[in-house]
Amino acid sequence: MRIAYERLLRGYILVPLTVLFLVSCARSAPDLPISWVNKADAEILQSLKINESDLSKTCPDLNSELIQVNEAIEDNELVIKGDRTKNQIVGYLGALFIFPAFAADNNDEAKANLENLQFRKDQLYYLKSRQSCN
Amino acid sequence: MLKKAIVLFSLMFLVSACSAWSDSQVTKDGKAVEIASVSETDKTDPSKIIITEGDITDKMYSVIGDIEVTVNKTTIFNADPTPEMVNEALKEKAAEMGADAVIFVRHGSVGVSFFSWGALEGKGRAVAFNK
Repeated sequence: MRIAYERLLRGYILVPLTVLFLVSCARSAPDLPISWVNKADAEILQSLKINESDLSKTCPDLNSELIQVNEAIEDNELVIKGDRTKNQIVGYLGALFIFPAFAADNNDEAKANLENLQFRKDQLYYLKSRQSCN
Repeated sequence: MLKKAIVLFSLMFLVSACSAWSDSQVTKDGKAVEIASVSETDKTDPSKIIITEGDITDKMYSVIGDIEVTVNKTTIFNADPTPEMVNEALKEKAAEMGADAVIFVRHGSVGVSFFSWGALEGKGRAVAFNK
């Protein structure tokens, strides 16, 4: 009786934990860039990994790239949002019967894209501020 | 059995009355910041806090700290938290710190966390304008 109870209890703990690993996990917000206040330009450029070719870009170039980056962010967010409902249903079913959880889509590629796009956005914001662009 | 079901549904109803809850933390240069020391008069009105994805270049400011908030939906039946809800949580926290703006605001993506079926994280840097 006790063994059966322990097995049941273990199942109640293990199944939700496994489901959490399988269904789409929340993506953390990207890390903030270093503070630009009282920091040397060279230090910020190094921290943001800004290369020589970026330094020669004009304000219109930077603004138009920022628009493109924002559009790409929206596209990737739509991919994740589109799979969210499916993943929720899969998650609910997965909590009851473990197998459907394998059908969840973790959108790893879209999440990686969003990380890179946010980093580029931080670079562009610094380049804009460096050149006093509007 | 029926009693258990009634208790369970009552609990679910009670919990679902609060659709979302949030938690937060503040750091500066990687170290936790204590905000309890901010006096009531130094706190700002959350509705007056500026929220921006970029930097503020037309005003000089001092950095107070980096804020990280997570908004969680209470039950699986509640709607997912939105970036607007995260921004409100960032404003609330920034107001407690006496900030004027939150810059470099960014959001994660809604998904399952260990504590919620729908969690959304947001980060931003709380700043106060130099007077």
